[in-house]
Amino acid sequence: MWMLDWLPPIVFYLLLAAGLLITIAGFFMGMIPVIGKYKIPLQIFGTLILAGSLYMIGRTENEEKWQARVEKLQGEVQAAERRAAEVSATVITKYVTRREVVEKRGKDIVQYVDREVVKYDNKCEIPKIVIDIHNAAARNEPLPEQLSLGDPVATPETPVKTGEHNSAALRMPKRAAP
Amino acid sequence: MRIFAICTALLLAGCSTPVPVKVEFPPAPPQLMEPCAQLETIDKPEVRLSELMSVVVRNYTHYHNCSDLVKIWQAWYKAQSEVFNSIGRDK
Repeated sequence: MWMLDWLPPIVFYLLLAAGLLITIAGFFMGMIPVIGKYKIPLQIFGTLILAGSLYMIGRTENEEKWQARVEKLQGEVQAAERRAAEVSATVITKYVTRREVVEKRGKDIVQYVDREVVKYDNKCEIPKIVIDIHNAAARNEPLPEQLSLGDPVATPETPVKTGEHNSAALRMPKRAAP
Repeated sequence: MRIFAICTALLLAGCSTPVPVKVEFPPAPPQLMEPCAQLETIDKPEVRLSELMSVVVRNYTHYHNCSDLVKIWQAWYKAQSEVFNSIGRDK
């Protein structure tokens, strides 16, 4: 509200006092001839001034409290932004350091393989099926058709041939009596 | 009495208002947004034992890097959530 920006708060307190005096004059000083003539307008005018000034005083005080809360919260936000930046920097430093360690260990092991495991290359032939399975696992793909498991996996809807089962059960030797 | 009641109501018209301070969750650092490396495959019909082992070791390295990335993401998000949720709380 522009009035809060341009008028000092003391103005509204003075208006409050004036409104109070005018209202009292309008209600309680009607017996004085000069005031009695304007009794009704004084009451109305005094009440309006009183109410208006009370409202503006309330707004002024609320505005001050509101500004204080805004400043406090802005301070908290700035502090939180600084803490967030510190957290990010710490986390990233930890991650970069850890990644370097992982990479170095991996390279060390590969170097060891190239130096030591290479001695056994001639003793171990890697069949193509191993390569296919490795690649399928690396890509998370289903097994190639030629490597299928043969019989499909049984499901609750899979029909079961009971003839062979029953024949095998009938051929089983009888158990000896206890 | 009526005037007093009206004046009190008008005085209370300047009620508290929500504080318009915008707080945004911080964006993730670019290092945490890098995708995990794809696992390596063997692209030739014949391979030696040492070559196969090298591919396997490198893939394990990729896994450990990806696993660390997930753990760091979780740690970053948890720490940032604590900072974010602490704003505006009276201590």
